[in-house]
Amino acid sequence: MNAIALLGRRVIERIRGIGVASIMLLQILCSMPTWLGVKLFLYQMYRVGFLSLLIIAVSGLFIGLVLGLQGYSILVNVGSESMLGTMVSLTLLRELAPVVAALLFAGRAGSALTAEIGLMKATEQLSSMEMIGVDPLKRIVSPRLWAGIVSLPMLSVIFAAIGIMGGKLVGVDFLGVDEGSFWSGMQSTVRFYEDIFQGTLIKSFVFAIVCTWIAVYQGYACEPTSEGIATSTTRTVVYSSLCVLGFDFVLTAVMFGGV
Amino acid sequence: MQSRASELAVGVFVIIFAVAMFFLAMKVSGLSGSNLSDRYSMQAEFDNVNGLKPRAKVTMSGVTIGRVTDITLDPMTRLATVHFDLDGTLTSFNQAQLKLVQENALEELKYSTDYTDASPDQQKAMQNELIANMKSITSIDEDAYIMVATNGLLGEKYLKVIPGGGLNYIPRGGSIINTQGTMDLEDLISKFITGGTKTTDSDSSNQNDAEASFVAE
Repeated sequence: MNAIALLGRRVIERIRGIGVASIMLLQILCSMPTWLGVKLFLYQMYRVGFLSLLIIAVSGLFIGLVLGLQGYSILVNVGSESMLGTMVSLTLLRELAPVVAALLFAGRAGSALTAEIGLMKATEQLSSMEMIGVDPLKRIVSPRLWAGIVSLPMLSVIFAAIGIMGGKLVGVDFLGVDEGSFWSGMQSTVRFYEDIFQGTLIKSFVFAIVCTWIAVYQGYACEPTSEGIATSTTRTVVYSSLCVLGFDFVLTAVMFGGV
Repeated sequence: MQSRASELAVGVFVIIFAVAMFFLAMKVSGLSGSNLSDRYSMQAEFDNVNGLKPRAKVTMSGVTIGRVTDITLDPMTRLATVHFDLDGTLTSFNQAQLKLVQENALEELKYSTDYTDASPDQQKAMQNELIANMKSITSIDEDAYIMVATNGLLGEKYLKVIPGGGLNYIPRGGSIINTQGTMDLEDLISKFITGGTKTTDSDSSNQNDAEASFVAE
């Protein structure tokens, strides 16, 4: 009997958590921006966006290099290595750039957000803010959420661009694919609206909302102990990664699955 | 000071993003708008446009002269109507060439039976009509035909305009009448298999027999 009651309480707690998180997201998205909010947002853009730039750029470069190598070794068998540019660019734009950037972002920035907000809660900074009449949602959570939502699509675009340059480096400069056919094949296949706007920007916008929302909520709702912070941080990375991969399938089915 | 430095970093971040976006738009997707100058639209009806997509190129003698804009299906004829934009500067005559084309056309007119049978007034009218029709012509003549071609063995489909030798030219916005749709390999093979028997010498009698038996059944 006790076990069943425990299970029921767990389920109710989870559902309540989703409710609290949704109300929090709505409150933040619907609140008016203030001048102080913009300054805080800019500082968070620096921490969340700019400081993630290096890891995004380096992994983008290496993924591009690997795509160039693998694509070449497959395509050269059927004598169509001129399709390399098409393959590299479509793979990056439609899938790898938004997904890998979001996974890295969840690990690099999401976990930091959770740990930071969680520690603020554990050291009772959040409750003391409430005591002096400052809304911690506005002051702490909102700038971080907005910074994540804005910076992840930007990081994905940078990831894709650097990856394509990496693919070009291996394919054209090292392996000797014709440069003209590399670019022209790419240009004749990649469409701006379908592949770049939908495939990269919209996808990573959705991932950005999901990742930062999870990170911020896990920090805000974490148990105020050192163990609680550790659990929340782990959960952030696990939930974000799973959600990104799940949403990726749904979005791909909606965008590219139809006739 | 710290906020000054972080603002600078965010500025750098935004600039890098803008450069990456510009690179993706221009270099990767080839979104230089459309670089067709003096564009106009034409269409052609095909029996099969399998594999042809919007934004496919239209070429003449290997030079890209336009892009496919739209592919629709005519419900009456059940033919695929392909609309495409062509580059006006590549597919029209300049003044001197236009004069030459007009002279040739007038010359041609003088030898036609309609012209020699008509009265002088009618002849004048016909000449004027011919000149008026020459106003907005393209360099594609009416005998030209347009086909769905394949780039290489496995490449993408595009439209190829093959000039004919005619002296009458299609006006802008007109349609190219002679078309040839996609050549499906399956169709060719099945034609080869089923069509092979028809070319044998006792062909006609056999066929009649076959038809007769078919009707009897």
